[in-house]
Amino acid sequence: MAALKRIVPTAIAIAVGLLVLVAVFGSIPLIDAVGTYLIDTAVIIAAFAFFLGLLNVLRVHGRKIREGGANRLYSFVLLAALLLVLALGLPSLGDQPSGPAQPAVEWIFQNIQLPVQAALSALLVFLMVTAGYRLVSHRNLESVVMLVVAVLVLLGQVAVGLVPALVGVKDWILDVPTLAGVRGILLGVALGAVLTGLRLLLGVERPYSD
Amino acid sequence: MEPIGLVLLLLLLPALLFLVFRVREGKAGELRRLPAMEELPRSVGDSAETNDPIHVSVGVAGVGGAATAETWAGLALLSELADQAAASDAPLIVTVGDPTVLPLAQDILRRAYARRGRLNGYDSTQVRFIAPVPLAYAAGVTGLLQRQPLRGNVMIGAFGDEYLLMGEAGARVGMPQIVGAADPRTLPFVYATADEPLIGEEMFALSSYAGRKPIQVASLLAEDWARWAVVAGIIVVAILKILT
Repeated sequence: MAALKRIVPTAIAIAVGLLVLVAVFGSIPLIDAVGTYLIDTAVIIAAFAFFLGLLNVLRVHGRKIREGGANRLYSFVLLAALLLVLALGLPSLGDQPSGPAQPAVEWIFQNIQLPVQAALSALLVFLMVTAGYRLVSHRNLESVVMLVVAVLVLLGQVAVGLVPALVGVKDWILDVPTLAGVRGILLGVALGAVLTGLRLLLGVERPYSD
Repeated sequence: MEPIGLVLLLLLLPALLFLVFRVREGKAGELRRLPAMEELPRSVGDSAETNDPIHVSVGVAGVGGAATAETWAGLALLSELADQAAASDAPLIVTVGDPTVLPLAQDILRRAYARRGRLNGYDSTQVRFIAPVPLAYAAGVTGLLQRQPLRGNVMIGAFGDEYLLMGEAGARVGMPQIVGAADPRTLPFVYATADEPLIGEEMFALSSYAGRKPIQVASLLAEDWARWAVVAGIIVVAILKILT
């Protein structure tokens, strides 16, 4: 029975993986149709997963509120905001649309969520400076190289007219070593992703069963 | 769709099978050291002793999109970590940024506890869905890293610029951080904030390092072969370009 519980999910996963692969790269109408059906099924399951996510948020933060503690106010605010947006967005009031296009939900998105996200994005500038400082404080060869390159690129960006040669240095750094490094990393990632796919297709790695 | 992926897959398959035999015969050599894999048991041990959890993130992407392989890499490491945590009674907090990963992560954790015969130690709220928007997810995780006493922060998966919010929060608290990402724009942030950064393809190798099955080791060797083939191809094309 234990072997069956291991073999059946693995066999299904391998068969589905191969079918979708052949459907993506091949042009056999029957397999194309099966592949499209399987992908559509995955999309429906993914949509249902949002409902599971909602239940998870309710459970995790409901428990935090029940258990008390200094941080339960955050959980309360989160659940209140979640339920308020749900209450506003779910029903269709008169000729107003429901869902994300509902005017009240749209107002919340435009005036609360977007500014908060913009503020968080703006914080990244300061965090980059502290991350750079932390790296320099390591005092190894890599941090020295990073510091020198960062200073050269920054000067190259702002020193037009003052030190014209630095513009060329900056362009060379970005176009040659940086681009080469990025392409090398991307090639490695692509190979790693293909091999991960191959291990999953062969059933060597089975995150879905024992 | 471009058939290059299929060609690569078909070329790698026989190489992989050949290398499996080489590994079984003991002719494949040793895997190089990956410090992140040595740090993991230490963090789990600390967590078991203090009962402070380890935070695990599998990224902001789900399964089914362009970053599925990165998410699988995170889930594979979670599987390994869950086994160690279930064996030593170390608590884990897993956060996900896409609801499709939620049932997968919960199932991985549940099975790890079941394998150890300690199903009563499993709690489904150990896996938490934070938010489907990357910045909102980062804000939620940043709060968790700052407020919850933790013994380590393991983040393997797809991350964008928002990683810096979480990475800096973890670094400021001073907890050991093991982070793997594939996006070149995120990697400098990972390098600056993580104690054990996993750059690009290294994150895909973690499950093979943990499992060490012949076919897993062979897949890493096949990846090296493919890399040498790409390097040789680039050199040949460059020489031909110069000559013509």
